[in-house]
Amino acid sequence: MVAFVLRRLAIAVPVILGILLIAFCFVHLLPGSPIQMLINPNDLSGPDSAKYLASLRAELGLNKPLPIQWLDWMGQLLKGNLGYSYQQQVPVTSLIGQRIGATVLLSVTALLLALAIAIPLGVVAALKQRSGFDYASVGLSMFAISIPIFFLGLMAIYVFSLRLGWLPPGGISTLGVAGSFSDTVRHLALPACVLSAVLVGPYVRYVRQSMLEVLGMDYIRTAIAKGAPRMRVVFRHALRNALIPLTTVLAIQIPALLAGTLVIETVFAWPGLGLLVYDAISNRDYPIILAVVMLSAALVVLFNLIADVVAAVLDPRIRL
Amino acid sequence: MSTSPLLPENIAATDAAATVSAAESRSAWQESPFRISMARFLRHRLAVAGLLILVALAVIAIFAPLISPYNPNATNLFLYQHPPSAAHLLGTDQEGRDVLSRLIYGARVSLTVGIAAAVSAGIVGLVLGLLAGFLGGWVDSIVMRLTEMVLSFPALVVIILIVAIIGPSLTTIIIVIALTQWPTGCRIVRQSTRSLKEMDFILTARAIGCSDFRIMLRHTLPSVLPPLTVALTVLSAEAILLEAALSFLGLGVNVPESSWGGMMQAAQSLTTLSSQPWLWLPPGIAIAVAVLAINFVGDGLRDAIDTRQQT
Repeated sequence: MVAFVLRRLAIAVPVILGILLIAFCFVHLLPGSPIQMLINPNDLSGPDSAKYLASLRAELGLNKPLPIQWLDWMGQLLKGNLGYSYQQQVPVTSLIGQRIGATVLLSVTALLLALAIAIPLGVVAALKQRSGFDYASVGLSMFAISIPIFFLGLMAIYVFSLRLGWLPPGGISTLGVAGSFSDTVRHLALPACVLSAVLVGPYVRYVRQSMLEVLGMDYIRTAIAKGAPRMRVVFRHALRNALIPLTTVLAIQIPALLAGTLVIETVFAWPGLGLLVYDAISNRDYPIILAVVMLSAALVVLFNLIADVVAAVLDPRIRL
Repeated sequence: MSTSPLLPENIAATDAAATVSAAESRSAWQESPFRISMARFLRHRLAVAGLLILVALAVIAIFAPLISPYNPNATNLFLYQHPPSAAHLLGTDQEGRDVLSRLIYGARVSLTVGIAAAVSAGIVGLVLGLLAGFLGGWVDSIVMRLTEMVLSFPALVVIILIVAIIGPSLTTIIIVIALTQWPTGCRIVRQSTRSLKEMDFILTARAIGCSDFRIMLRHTLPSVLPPLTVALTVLSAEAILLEAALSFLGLGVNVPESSWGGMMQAAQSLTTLSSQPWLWLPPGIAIAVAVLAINFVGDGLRDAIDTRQQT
């Protein structure tokens, strides 16, 4: 097991270095010098700023060859320095810190909701292959993939907030009211449901496909032949094995979830990273966008690693 | 009758399916593989419906100047946000432009992005996938690590960053979508190239002295194209959704030009969302219909081409 994890980590290293290289290219593509990315713009006022900049340039090693600069930049990243926001003149990390909680709340709720909907749907669709239910669930997942998520969000607001008045149209809490649990849930309901629709589509297809494959296996036939109760065969023998590939699918869908979160936060004015990026677009505040790009990439690599390890724990064959 | 795979009747059903496919393979003596796939595709009713919708959309996009009742960019402040009427079937927007005309012209943007981005991503994926699968070794390792890197970035966020830096335009959007989406096709091409490499006809070609280049181009490429086409269909749907999301976020094609996602930008204000549904409902439905049609076609193509995966 340890050997497997180490081998998997070894493969991840070149990928991570490559990601950092791409991100470094982005830093150089950005308008403005990397110096503006690294230092607090407040330090730049005063008569000696030009001299100061030159000394800083040397001090930060910006006259060194590019590969060395890349290494230095990665050193800064390790120290947690993602640069400064052009607009708000505070470290990007602190801005992200303020917003990440809301994003995690939204995306994790959506993820759990999607699993709770997709697993039963996929299992029943596979058990009743070619039935009306099967076609309906496959068709539904097709619709969920095809409708633009912001359109779904707009329709949800239109119907449930503006016409029916059941739920608030946006934000994370009612203005001027101390945040309470039920208030947050009311605000969370619409965006989380809409966001889960992005994931339900692919999940249903994978669960159904994987369940169909497992149900065709010899050990399932054996279990039925020896007279095990049907429900026991479905849940104990089939489902447990059918869900293993889902761990990989969960990791593969992380980028889709992050992109969906970004759009949905804009539609519902949910004060998370997505809204931060949206505001950064209009302010041309590139360090923020870049930081979110890097953070997402890091998350994706991390979740792929975790998914592989979890799959190996669940299915010893993968370790070989 | 419940056709559960758990029940013994299912074995009979599998036998029946086997007989059918045997019959299919008998007729294969008279018919070309292309015709068999064609026949399978046509049996897929939703796929045919999707294809018809796409053809209709293409006709609308090509003949937009003839079909649209008004100039899509002509502003008229006397027609500020008029609801649908006989003169303006889908009403007018904040600048008094005819929504129906803008919708018709918007088809051009969406279809262009869908086709151009998928084809460019396909070409990059095809070349790298063929090289990786055929040459193997370090070329393969490098290409595979490269796909992993690109797949690690959420496409939308990277596209937002790049478009925000170099500025939005149709070409930029197409190129950037292609740059972030090529790995899917690349992996599929690599996979089929690797399995083809060991097949007898490739070994024969090698034995009679064909060059690597010729084997790739004349013998591997034709077999790799069908699965790549399926992947590209799905990808063009993805590209249309990405363009719509970008335009909705205000990073789409240049402003006077109409794009479905851009038309929906107005609905970010709650007043518009609530009292002018004709501004955002039609473009939203248009995107959903176009993407759904492409996805149905993709599904039909997958069933038609892939004989193994018949579920």
